[in-house]
Amino acid sequence: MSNNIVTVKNLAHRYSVHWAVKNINFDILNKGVTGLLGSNGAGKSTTMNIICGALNQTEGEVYIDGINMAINPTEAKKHIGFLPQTPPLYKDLTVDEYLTHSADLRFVNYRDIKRAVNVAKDKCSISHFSDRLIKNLSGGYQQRVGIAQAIVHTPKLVILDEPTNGLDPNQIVDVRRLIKDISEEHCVLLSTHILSEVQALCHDIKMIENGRLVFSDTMDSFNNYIKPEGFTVELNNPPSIDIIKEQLNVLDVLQVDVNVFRVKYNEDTKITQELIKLSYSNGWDLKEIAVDRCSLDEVFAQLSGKVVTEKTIK
Amino acid sequence: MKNKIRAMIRVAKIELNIMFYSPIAWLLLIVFAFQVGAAFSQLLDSNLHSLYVGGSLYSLTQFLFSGLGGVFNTVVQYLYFYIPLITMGLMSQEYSTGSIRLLYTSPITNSSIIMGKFSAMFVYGLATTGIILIYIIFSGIIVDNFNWAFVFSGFLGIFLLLMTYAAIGLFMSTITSYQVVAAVGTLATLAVLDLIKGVGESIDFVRDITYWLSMSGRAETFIKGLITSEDVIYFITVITLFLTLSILKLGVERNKKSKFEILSKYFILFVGTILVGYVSSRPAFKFYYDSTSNKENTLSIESQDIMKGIVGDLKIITYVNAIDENMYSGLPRNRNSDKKSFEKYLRFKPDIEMDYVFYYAKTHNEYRKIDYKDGNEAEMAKLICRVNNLDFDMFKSPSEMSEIVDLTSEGNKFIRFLNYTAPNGETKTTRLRLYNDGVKHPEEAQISGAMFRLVEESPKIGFVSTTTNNRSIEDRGVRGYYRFSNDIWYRNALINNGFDVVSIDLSKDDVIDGIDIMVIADIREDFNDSELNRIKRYIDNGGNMFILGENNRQNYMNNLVEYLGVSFKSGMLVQLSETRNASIIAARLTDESVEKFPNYAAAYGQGYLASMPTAIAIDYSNVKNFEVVDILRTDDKGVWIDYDNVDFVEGNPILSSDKGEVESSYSTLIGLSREVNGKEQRIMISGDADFISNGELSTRRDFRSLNSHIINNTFRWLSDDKFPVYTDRPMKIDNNISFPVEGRKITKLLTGSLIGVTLLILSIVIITRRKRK
Repeated sequence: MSNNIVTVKNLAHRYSVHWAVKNINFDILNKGVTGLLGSNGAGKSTTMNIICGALNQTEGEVYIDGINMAINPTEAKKHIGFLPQTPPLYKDLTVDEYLTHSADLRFVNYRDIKRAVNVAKDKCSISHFSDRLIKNLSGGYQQRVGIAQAIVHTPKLVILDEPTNGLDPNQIVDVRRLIKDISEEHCVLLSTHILSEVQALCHDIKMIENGRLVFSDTMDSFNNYIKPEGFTVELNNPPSIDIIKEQLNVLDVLQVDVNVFRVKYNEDTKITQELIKLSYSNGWDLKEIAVDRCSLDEVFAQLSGKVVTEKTIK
Repeated sequence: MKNKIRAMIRVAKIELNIMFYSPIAWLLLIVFAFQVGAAFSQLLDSNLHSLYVGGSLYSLTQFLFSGLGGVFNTVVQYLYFYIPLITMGLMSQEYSTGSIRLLYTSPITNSSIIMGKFSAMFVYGLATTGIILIYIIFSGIIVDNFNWAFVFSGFLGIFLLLMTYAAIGLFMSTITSYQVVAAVGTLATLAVLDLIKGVGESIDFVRDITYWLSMSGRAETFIKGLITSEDVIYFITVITLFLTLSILKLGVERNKKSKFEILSKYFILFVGTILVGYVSSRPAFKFYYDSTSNKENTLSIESQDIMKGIVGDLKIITYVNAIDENMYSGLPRNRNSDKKSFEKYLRFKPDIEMDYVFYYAKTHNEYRKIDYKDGNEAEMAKLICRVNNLDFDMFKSPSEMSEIVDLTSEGNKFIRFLNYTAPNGETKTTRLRLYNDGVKHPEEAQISGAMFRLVEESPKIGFVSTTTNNRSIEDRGVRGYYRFSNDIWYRNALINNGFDVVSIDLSKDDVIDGIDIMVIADIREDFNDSELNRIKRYIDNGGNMFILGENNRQNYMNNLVEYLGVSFKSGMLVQLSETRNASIIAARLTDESVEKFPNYAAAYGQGYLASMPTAIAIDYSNVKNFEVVDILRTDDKGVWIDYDNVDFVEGNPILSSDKGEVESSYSTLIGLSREVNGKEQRIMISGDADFISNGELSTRRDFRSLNSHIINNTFRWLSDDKFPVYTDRPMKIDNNISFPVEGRKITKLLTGSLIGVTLLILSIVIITRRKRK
């Protein structure tokens, strides 16, 4: 446990009578990005707020670098940098003033504050805005200032709550790149409900649904869950449904349109190649094939049906 | 700890940064500066105007800062309005913008956050009061003998008040993310703390608590120059209370605590607050500092000496008649304001017990005369109880009262009995009344006089009465002496200032035994030999006297005063005046009188005159054994002794030199003193008996009248400087401004608006430069 950067044990939190999260257990071991997934209202933010000490849990324990957050919050928080969903910015300050304030609040040595602020600005590519008022920056840059604030004191753990929310596509790409950079030096816990983001950034996944941890494993094993289970095919010269079903040996085939069919299968990964071969040899004249992308909601729905067993928790 | 302070300073710094880059803080500072400036420049201008027209100034420190419309009073009036506007954003804004999370996830404690925010308000408070400080320093430079201690007291009061408002505002901002709610909540809390004084005031225990909780009037105590430990502790306790509540509020969300733990914390906090309040408000635990130069908020030195002598048990029983118009002063709901009458005394004798007896009995009530025309007393009392929501059973019936005390001689009016038990077990009682004047309640002279009577033999004044004498202490006519001596509802009456007054009949033998001061006035027939002998024996024994002559009585009175070497000159003094009848002499205090009686100094300086109708001149050229002080003299122009017996209806008398009438200055009041049997004998002789009569005391002349001063000072001298207790304070010394009186318009403009305009420009520069970023 002492090697773990984050340890969460039996965490539960209740808002008045409603349990927002219950029985959450996980560890975060090493550098890199750990994704915290969940749909809206699943309990991601509650969990993150508890981990970084902005909220006190009803039950359970959180250890940051081996320090119990509930017992010694000030020590534990020294190792945390947090970017909430809305960046905690004082918009009437300049970037430099704000970052200096943030560094000072985290007890960076007086002598090192200036350097720390410069490093953080460099990393987030906002050095040229040093003297700008934060309120005069665009949303993407405000987000970067928020991230700079979270890393200015070089914490062991950086927690980012939906950092790309509300950004335009270019900004999203930039911010993702930034997160990748940060994860080389810091352990990053990233919450999101965008599957592609998880896939682009994370090596570990924790998934929360309805306040329960429903998945906790590596990205690779997560990918297994989101394997496609079917595809849609358009044939210019289709045979009858039964022939397709028989020849491909799949679970089910549905006719969507005159020439469009939906193929459902189980575990076989080579089924598409098989279809292409058959189409060529039988002259079905394949026009288009589209693998069904599994939406995150479906994954959630799928996963929340399961109870996470001890085995799935590393 | 080091980190805590670092975090606190950091939070404060950024708060101030945000504050002073936003227009609201500046705007309030600027408005504040203009308001203070307007108040100050107005008062300064009125002073400069007085100087310009050749007037004299008095007590300028108080005038500028704590007088009507003074700087401190103006500030107190507006302060409650500014502070909520500043404090409303302190935490609410953090909540609503989400920036609170930066603080929450930083390694700092809740107390660092709250203390940091409060420190920011502390600095803002310094900036605000700094504006006042500039005016204080400016006044200190231009006012001679400026009373720095006095303004410090007021300044401290304002600052504590401001910080208390800030703590309350901070708490309100902590409990809501809506700034408007925080501001209105603060105003509401301030209103509650102001009005709570009146809650539960008819129940002893609740009244004590709500009275302590009330904030109203506390800053005013500082402003009038009195710093009391109770007020200082009150402000600090309320500040601590609200800061702790704020910290706890943050903790409820963020720290792992059981409900029991939280509740017990709140419980300890409230119990602690109430305990501190209770202890600090006990008279025995109060400490005072009076910053006025003449200690006007403290008992006079003489009163303090009297209180030092009151070492036994003192109980003040107040008898309250339901039908009396002064009943309200004695009701339980007004207990605290009633106590205020004795506050200065409680400071020197904290264990004074106060008891109240309620009853109803026939009395004169001007305002209820018509209402109760036909009712009997019990019915009146019942009606009054119903109207005022009082319990009728609380009031004793006349028959129940007859077993306790008979107050008919007091007209069954509101009265207090001071019951004293000396350490040796001796008991003594004296009375303290309400008076028929605007103030009603006894002031220091009367209370101290009553206190003094408890430990000191009170001087007995014997008024010599003869069959033809109408100057008796019972005579309520214009020539009578009832008012100044024996009128129990007249504040300055001797009987209300420590004296006992009696009429004495010189035809009786032992009549002068036990008399400390003998008064002989306006004798209209010769004393017979035995009477004269008694008086002479009294004089020989060294008795103190007050002899008052009158026109046409010279012959009878000279028989007496010639024994002292004095004679009343025949003929009446007249003084020509355009506004007054020539029979009225406006006599002046002499320089030597002020030397001998320093108490006259103020009146002398302010040009008070004694009005003496139909006075005669005193000739003391043959006085041998006595030291003589000439106290009152007439002017030397337009004054002479007229021998013509003019009736003044027909016009003014004419100076006729051929009859020997000489325009000159004549003595009308002298004091004689000599050593008899190791004691100083004091005899006062006046050339007029009217000047202390009922009529003259209630007549207004066209000058400021000295007459009641003379009565006071004369009897004080004659009672060997004991009564009435001297409560006048020394004159203030901050009575001049060293500032050019020319160009008042520019002075007014600059003192009124310079700071505001400077702040305005400064704020525009700072904010626009900021905006450009």
